[in-house]
Amino acid sequence: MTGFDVIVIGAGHAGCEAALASARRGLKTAMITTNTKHIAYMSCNPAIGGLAKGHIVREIDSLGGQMAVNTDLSTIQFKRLNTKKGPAVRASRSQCDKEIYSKNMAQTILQEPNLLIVEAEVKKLIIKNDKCIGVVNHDGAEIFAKATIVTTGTFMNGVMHIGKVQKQGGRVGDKASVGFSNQLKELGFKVTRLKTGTPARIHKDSIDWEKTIEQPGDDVFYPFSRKIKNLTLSQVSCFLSYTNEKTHQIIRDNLDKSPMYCGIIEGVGPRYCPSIEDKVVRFADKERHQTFLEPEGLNTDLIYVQGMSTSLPAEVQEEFLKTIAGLENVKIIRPGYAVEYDFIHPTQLKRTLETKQIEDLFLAGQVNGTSGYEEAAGQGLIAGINAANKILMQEAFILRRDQAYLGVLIDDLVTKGTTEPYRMFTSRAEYRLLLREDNTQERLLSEGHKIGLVSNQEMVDFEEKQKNINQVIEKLKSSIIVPSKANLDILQTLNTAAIVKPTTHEELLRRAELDFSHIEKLNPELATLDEEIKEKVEIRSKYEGYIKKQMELVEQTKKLENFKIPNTVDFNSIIGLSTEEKEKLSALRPETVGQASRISGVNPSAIQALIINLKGKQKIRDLAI
Amino acid sequence: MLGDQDTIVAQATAPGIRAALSIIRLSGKKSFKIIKNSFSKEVSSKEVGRFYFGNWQNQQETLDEVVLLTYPNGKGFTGEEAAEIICHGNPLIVSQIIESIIENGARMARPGEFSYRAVVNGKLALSQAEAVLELIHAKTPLKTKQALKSLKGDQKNNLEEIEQELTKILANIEAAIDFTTEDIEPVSMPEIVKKISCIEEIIDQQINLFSKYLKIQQGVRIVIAGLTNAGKSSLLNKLIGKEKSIVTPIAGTTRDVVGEQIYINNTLTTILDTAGIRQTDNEIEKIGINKTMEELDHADLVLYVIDSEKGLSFEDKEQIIKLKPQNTIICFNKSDLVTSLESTDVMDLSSFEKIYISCVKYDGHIDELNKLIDKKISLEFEAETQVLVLNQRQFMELKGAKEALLAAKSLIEEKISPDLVSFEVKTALIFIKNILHKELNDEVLDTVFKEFCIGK
Repeated sequence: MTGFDVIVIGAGHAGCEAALASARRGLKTAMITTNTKHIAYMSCNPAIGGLAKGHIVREIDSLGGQMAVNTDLSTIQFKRLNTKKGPAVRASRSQCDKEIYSKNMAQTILQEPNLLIVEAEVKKLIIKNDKCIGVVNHDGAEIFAKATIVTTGTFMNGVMHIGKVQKQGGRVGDKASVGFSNQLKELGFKVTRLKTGTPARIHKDSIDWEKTIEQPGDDVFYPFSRKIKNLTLSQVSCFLSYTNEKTHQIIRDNLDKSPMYCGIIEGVGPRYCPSIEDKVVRFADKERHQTFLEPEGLNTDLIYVQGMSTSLPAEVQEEFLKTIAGLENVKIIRPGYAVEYDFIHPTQLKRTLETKQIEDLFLAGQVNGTSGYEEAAGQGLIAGINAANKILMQEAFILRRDQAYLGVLIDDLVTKGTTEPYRMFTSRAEYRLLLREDNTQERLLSEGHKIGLVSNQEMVDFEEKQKNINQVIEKLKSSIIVPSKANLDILQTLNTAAIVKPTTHEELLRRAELDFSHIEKLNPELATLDEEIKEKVEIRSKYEGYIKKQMELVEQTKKLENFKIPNTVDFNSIIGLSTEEKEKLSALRPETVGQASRISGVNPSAIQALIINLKGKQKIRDLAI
Repeated sequence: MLGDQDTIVAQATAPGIRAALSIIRLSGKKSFKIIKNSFSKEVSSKEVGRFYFGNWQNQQETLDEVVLLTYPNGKGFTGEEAAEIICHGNPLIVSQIIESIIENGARMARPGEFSYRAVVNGKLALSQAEAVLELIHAKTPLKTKQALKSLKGDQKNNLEEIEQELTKILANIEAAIDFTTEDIEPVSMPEIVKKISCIEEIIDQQINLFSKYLKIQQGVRIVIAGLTNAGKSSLLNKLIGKEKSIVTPIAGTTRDVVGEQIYINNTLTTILDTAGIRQTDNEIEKIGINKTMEELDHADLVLYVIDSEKGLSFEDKEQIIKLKPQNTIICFNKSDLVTSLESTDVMDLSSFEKIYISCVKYDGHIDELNKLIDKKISLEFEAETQVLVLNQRQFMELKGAKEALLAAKSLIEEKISPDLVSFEVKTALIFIKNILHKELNDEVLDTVFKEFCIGK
């Protein structure tokens, strides 16, 4: 087996996107996995999307990735979150049938002409002159490629903990990849441990549903993908229940059996996803903690016990679960566990996700210290695109922070690094008002088209839709109502202030208390418009002022973002930097001044000094930034 | 740098109180637009090397007579369109002009920023740039720490308190946004409004302190008032020791307010001679009298001059009744010309400080008056001796923070979505952090995780 363009190690969410992005560009791609039955397997919770994550899924769709389509096709419950908190933070979330999700993705991969699945365990990278030229498998077989993308998730030196019992593995049912990260260490990469956890899976028939509170999905489905219109699968509910003082007492009594609390686990776990042990200890005054009982699919007995992630011994898990209303007779199918794994500090990566020290080697997903299917898939896509771009001798594909959550994600990772599994939050995006679900295509579809993962026809259709939206806005701007008796009466019925001078429909739409449906009362023909168009028009009108404010900020920073720092620069020779700043800049080697400005501990004054020094090296006068 | 596209302004001369003139520098794309809005004369944005004499105005009000030097795009010291405004040295005037410029879309320049722009735009040679680096270097953490140390205890505590409180508020808003499915109870919006109002109060206190500080810098305003020809101008001349007002025995000579700055016991004191008050049909004189009334309202101390020869007239009584005894000294002038003064005193002046002087005859009286003025002034300013350390830039940041908080409050009151409220609160927090030389990092998320139990 020789002569691939791209090798992808791993077939999780990052691996699948990476492999597809490369193969769809016409590059011969091999995806190597230890278990072909677990392609795009959802190892933890059965949901995709949510705050900021839902945004990422849509971004993947606009860039030509697969996750959105796959999610829509396996959705068994859909919810739109934060409907009243502003359009920027509205987000979609789907509960998925895990099995169908995995099967659908495997299907897509199998059907991809340039993509070959290889079942094997990679033991080593083949490095020559600081370039990665291929891999060696467990059986000694060598595979060569122009680029290699590592998406090994939690599998590198993965150790699972249940109580004080440890087992090697990256996930129940899958073996760990041992030795691989040692080679990375030898190559000079900084590798450390992280920890994450998952709750128990219980049998659906052992639950007394009457004692729980039903949580149905929404009536309206807003597909993640622009290619999907309707739901495919039948819809199910989730169920809510709570822990109580008894539960907490059992957990407190057994803390000495938790590997987290007796010092066995050294990896750092995420603060936003603490185990139930953590919650009980850290928030001791909280009387109860909620748990959602989530079906893992339509044809499975498995119920995911959300919120109860734990590494206590199985018998203790059973004991405390039984104190929860509805779980008195609970039957655990698989106990919860903690998993420790190696991750590569992502500050060793370029924004293309290629490593700084080894050329043609890309890293994506949980191996970079992130958490979440969406964050992984997004990185896989970006790594796949950039590996392909490099091979095809095209420009690096880098998303800006004002352009996409994926831009924020990668910039945060490579600039600031992370000390806990990194999860995306909307509050991480300083241009949050610009990064909405509703405008994802406006932000990214043309990028996807440029890369070649979005077809011409799709682009034409999109532009047609944009034209319609603009026309509606023009119409609202040119429709004027005068303060006549009839109009004033209508305004009164809408519970909004009277007008004193001629006013456009658009101005009315900006009023806080009015929405598009109210404007329809003034102009009934608007009612026939597509709901999607109505929503977009409403958001654009209402938030125009704030969107403008953020755009101005973006404009201000653009020059810095585009100001490249040559890789020959010796930061130690720059006058006006403190020792700490010199060290940080030398270690991180930011690619642009904008990136440098986000390194913690690098002050604005250092950025000024940097600019002056960089400018000084060039010829004065012809270099106005 | 963030903000390289902004139009910037700063006082170029040292902010001292003794200077006769000050220079304010302005640079950036909006310079000529700002000049157009504020300068009384038409200014060419193309001609190089022009200077203009005219009024600097804020809305209709004239702030000062200034000399304006203009530099079209590429010709300024920064390589951008720029201007220099030469105004009078009074710190209040400088501050008002700078504020009017900021209101029109500029912002305060950071230390070394003019030179920095000159370098990046190729206006300063590399050798010269080193001096700029030094300037910038002076801002590195150690110096910053020293600067922060110099912040007076209370004031720094106040700012850090605001910083922490805003971080908490933001954490609550963000928790409600990012962790909407969690079982947590962030502070409600009405509660947030209350919290913001508390912060506003602290900010207002700081803003007031700064205004007082400007006043101290500006010095004390003493207004000499009285009926026409009571000897007000003579008194002014005696106080300042030179002929400034035109002293003639014809009533109504001083038709405008005439002022002079002197030091009385090291306090800068502006003494204003005003038009005499009397019933008149002369339109110009009427304007002068109205101005006198205005000055009386703003005065820190009023010297009310009575012509002892004529005695306390009905018009005098009408005026005196409007004055506050604690900041008024009644000066019986020409006391050498009469033998009995009390006989004219049918009004109860016992609550007023009184002095008998003769501007023409005895200088000794003036020394006594000086002592009395000094006593009154120190009373007035005793409570304000606290040294203020906010500079103009920091003051502007504080005002920016307040504006953002007001916007946040009105968004909440109008029930507009939390994503926008968050934007405004974050803006306010960044302003406060700027004053403290801090940057916004992950502390909002850190606070969320500390305060709320969140987990899948």
